[in-house]
Amino acid sequence: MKTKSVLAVLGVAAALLAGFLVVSIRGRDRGRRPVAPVTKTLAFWHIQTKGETKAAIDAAVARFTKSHPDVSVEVAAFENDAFKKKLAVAMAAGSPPDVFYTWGGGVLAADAAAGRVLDLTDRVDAAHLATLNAAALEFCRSEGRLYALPADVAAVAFWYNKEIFREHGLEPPKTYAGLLAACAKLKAVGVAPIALGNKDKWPGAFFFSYFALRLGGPEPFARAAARKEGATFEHPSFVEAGRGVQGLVERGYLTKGVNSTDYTRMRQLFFNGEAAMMLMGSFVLGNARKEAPEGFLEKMGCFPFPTVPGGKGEASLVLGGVNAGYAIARGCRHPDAAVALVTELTGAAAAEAWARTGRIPALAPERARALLPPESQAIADVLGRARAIQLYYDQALPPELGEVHKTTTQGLFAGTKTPAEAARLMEQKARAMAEREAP
Amino acid sequence: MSPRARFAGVVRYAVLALFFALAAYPVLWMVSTGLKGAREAAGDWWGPPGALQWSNFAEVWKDGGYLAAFLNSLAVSASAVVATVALAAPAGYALARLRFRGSRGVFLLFLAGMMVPVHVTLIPLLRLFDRTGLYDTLAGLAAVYTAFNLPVAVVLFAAFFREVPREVEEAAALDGCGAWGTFRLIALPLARPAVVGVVVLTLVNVWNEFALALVLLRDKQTLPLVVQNLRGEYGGEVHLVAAALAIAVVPPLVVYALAQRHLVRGLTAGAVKG
Amino acid sequence: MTPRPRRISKAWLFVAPALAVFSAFALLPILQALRLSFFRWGGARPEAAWRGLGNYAEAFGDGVFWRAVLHNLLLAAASIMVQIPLALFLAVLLAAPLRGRWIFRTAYFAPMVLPTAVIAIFWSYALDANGGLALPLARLLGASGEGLLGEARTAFATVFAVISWRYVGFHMVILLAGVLAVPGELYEAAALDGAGALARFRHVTLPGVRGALAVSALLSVVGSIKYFDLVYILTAGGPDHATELGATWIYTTGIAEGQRWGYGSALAVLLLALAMAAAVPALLARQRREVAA
Repeated sequence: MKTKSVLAVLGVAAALLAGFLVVSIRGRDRGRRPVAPVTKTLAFWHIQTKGETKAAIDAAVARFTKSHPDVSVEVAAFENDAFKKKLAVAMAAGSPPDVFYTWGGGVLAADAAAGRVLDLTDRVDAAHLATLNAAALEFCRSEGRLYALPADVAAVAFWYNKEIFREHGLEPPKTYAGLLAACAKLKAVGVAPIALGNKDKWPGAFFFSYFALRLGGPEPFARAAARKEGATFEHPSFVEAGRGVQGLVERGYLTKGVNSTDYTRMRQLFFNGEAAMMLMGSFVLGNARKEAPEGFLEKMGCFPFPTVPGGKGEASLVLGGVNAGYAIARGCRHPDAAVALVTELTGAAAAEAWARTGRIPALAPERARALLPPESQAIADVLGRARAIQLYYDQALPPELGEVHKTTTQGLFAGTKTPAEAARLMEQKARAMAEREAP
Repeated sequence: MSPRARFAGVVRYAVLALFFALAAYPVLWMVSTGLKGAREAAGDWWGPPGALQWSNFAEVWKDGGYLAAFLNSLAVSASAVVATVALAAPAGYALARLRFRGSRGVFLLFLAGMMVPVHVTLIPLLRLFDRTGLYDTLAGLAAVYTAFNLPVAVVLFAAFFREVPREVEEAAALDGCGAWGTFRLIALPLARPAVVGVVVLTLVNVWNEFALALVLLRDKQTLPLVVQNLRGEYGGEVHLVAAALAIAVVPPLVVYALAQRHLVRGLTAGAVKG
Repeated sequence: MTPRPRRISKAWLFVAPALAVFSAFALLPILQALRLSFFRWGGARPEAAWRGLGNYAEAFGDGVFWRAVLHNLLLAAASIMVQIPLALFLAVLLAAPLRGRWIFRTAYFAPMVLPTAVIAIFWSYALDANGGLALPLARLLGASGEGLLGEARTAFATVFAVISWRYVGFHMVILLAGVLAVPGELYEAAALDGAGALARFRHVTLPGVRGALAVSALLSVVGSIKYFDLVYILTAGGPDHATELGATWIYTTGIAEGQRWGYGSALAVLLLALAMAAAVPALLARQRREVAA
C-alpha cells in the first residue's frame, strides 16, 4: 500500500509534467510582429547576446521588418563558442538558419565548397557593394564568388598604456629592436611588458603571423596555403617566426601562464595596468569600453607591429579580418528577403550604430573613419595606411589546418615544439589533407 | 565522555570542516564576488567585498531570462528522472530475475549504450528531431535524456535486483504472485536505495547537460544555456558573471539541502536485510 | 508450473518500454554515427564519400587519439584509487550520528550540483598563473611560469584534482547509502567480540558496502571513458594535448575545428569498442559467478 501511494504521487506528478511540457514556456523575445499578413519567415542566428552590439543588430532587423512587412525574422543569439558548435551541427544535419553570422575566410570557403551557402555575387546591389571595404569583401569571397557581406573589420596592432610609457620615458617602438629594448626596460622596473593569454590559441597566433608577415611578406603563406608548386609551410620565414615567438618567451617579456590564461584574463591584465602592452585586434576596444576602469580608453594608444631586421615584408601590412559578417544558407526558401536583410545589416545605418560600440564597420575606409569615436581613430589610421590586410592565419586556412597552426603555435609558447618541428607538422598536415582530397 | 573519545570527536570535526571548506568555498566565492563593484572584483580577487552591491544581482536577473530557464530545466529534469526510473526498474528486474532468451544480448546493448560520448550523436539526433517535429520541444529533450540515462539505470537496477534473496521471491510465487506482482510488491519496495541512486545520478547528469540542450533547443533554454550565454555576455565583468552564476547555483543547492534529509531517510528505511 | 512461453513474453514486456525509448533516441543515432564512420564527410565536402575502413586506418595511426585513450585509462585508474577511498572515508565519518551532519552532506555534494561554468570560472581564477590562490603551490612544484594548468607536466594532475573535487561528494552519497545499510547489530556483535574501530571497519563495514563500492567503481570507470565537460572547459585538451581525452579529441576533430564528422564518428566507435572489450569480460564473468553461486 505504500507503493500505491508512491505510484499515485508519481502518476499525478507525471500528469502535471506532461501538461506543463505540452504548454511549455517560451524563453525568448522573438522580435516585433509585423502588422501585415506574414508569408515569409527567416531564421537569423548571431552572437551578440547583449548590450550595444545586440541593440545595433536588433535595430537593423526592426528597420528591415518595417520595410518588408510580409517577412517575420526569428532572431536567436548565442554565446560565441556555443554558436559555432550549434551552427556546425545544424549545417551538418541539414537544418541551418537562413541567415547567420560568419567570420569569412577558410570556414566560409569550406561552406561554399560544400554548397552550404548561397552565392551572393549577382544578388547584391552593386552600389551597396561599393560602399563596403574592399579587403573585407575579399575575405568573404571564395574562388572569386561572394558568399557573405562583411559588417565589421578588425586590425591587429600593439596596444599600449600611455601612462606607463610616459612614466618610464618610453616611445612606441618602430623596430623590433626598439620593442625589445622597451620590454627590457619595463621588465627591469617590474612591469610585465606584454600581456598574453593564449589558452584559446588564437591570441598567440598573432605573434607568429606577424613575424612571418614581416619576415617574408604575404607570399609564402598565400602560396603554401594554396599548395602551389614548390611552396611549403617549412619556408624559412615560418621557422624564423617560430624563433621570434620563442625569443619573447625566453626573455620573459610575456605575462605568466601564457597557455593557461584566457582572452578575458589577458584583457584584464592590460586594463588593470599590470601589463604595459598587448597585441590584439581592434575589436578589443569594444571590451575596453565595458570592462576597463574609468578613463582608461584615453590612456590606450596603439602602434603597428614593428619592422623586423632582414625582413622582406612591407611595414604597413596589417593582420586582420572580418569579425562580423552575414551569410545565407543555400537552402533558404526566401533568398531575396534574406539578401535584403543582409543588406540592411551591412547598410549605413547599421554601420553607424556599430561604430558607436567601438568596433570598426566594414565600410570603405574613409566612410568608416568618419563614423568612429576618438579612441578608434588611431587604429583606423593603421588600417588606412595598410596596403593590404592579411587574414588571420587560422581563418584563412581550412579549419582543420588552422587548428594545427594554432596548436603548434601553442606548443612554441609552451616550449614543447621547436620552430622546425612546428613548421614540419604544418607541412605534413597540409600534404596529408591534399592527398585525402585527391580523387 | 572519555578524553580519548572527545579528542577523536574534535579530530573528526576538524577533518569534516576542512573538506567543507574545500567543497563550499567556490560557492561562497561566487556570491562574494557577485557582491563586489566592478573595479573591486577585477582588482582584488580573494578578499571579501567592501560595500555590498546587490544591484549586480538585479541587473543580471533582468538580463537573464532565468525564471523561464529554471522552470524549463526543472520540467525536463523531473520528467527524465521519473521516466528513467519507471522504465529502468522493470527492465533491470527482468534482466536480473527473469531468464529469457536474448537477455544477455539486451544487457550487452545497454552496456554499450553507456559508453558512447554524446557528441557523435548530435547530428543524427538533430536530423531525427527535425523530421519528427521534436525540435525545440522540452518533451523531445527529456526523451533523449531518458534514453541516454537508461543504460546505466538498467545496469544498476539489474545489479541491485540480483542481490535480492531468491527465497523471498519464491515464497511470493508460491502464494500465486505472477512476475509483475512479485516485482511490484516484493522487489520494488526493497529497491529504494537503487531508486535513490538512479534518481541522483540521472538528476545530476541532466541538470547540467549542455551539448544536447544547445543543439536540440532554439528559443527555449535550460539553465546551462542561460549560464553560458551570460558568461559570454559579461566576459570580463567578473562581478556580473559571478552574480549571474550565483543566482543559477543557489536554488538547486537549497533544493538539494532540503531533499537530502529525505534522501537519507529513504535510504535507511529501505535497507532492511535478512 | 507456469508454462514457458508466457514467462518469456512477460519478461519482454518488462524490458520493452525501456528498449523502445533507448532504441529510438539513443541506439538509432549511435547506429547512424556508426554508419557515418565509414564515410569521408565534413568540412568542405558537399556529400559524404565512401571511405570504407579508411577512417579506422587513419585512427590507428592517430598518435593524439591513442595518447588520449591512455589519459582515459589513467583517469579511470586514478579515480578508483583516489576518489573512492576518500569518499568511503567521508561516508564513514558522516554515517555515525553527528550534530549538523546534514550541512556537511549538503556541502560535499554541492560540487556535483554546480553548473560546469561555475566550476570553470572559479578554478580558472584559483589556478591562474598571475594571481590565483594556487600560486604558492605552483611555485612549490616549479610550475610558476605557466601555472598549474599551463605547464604540460602538471596539467593532467591538476585537472584530475579538479575532477576529484567534483566527484568525491557524489561517490560519498552512494557509499553512505551502503554504509547506512549495514545493520547495527553486526557492529555490536563485533564490538562484543573485542574488535576495535579499525577491525570493525575491515570486517563489518567493508564487506557490507561491497555492493555500493561496485556501483561506484562501475560509474567511475564508465564516466572516465566518456569524460568531457570539465576537461574541455579547463584546458580544451591542452597544453599541446597534455590533457587530451577521447571525448575532447573527438569533439575537436569531429565538430569544432576539424569538422570531420566521419572521422569523429570512427574515433567514437573505436573508443566504444575498446571500452566494451575491457568491460564486457569483467561483467560477464561477474554474472556467471553469481548464477553459479
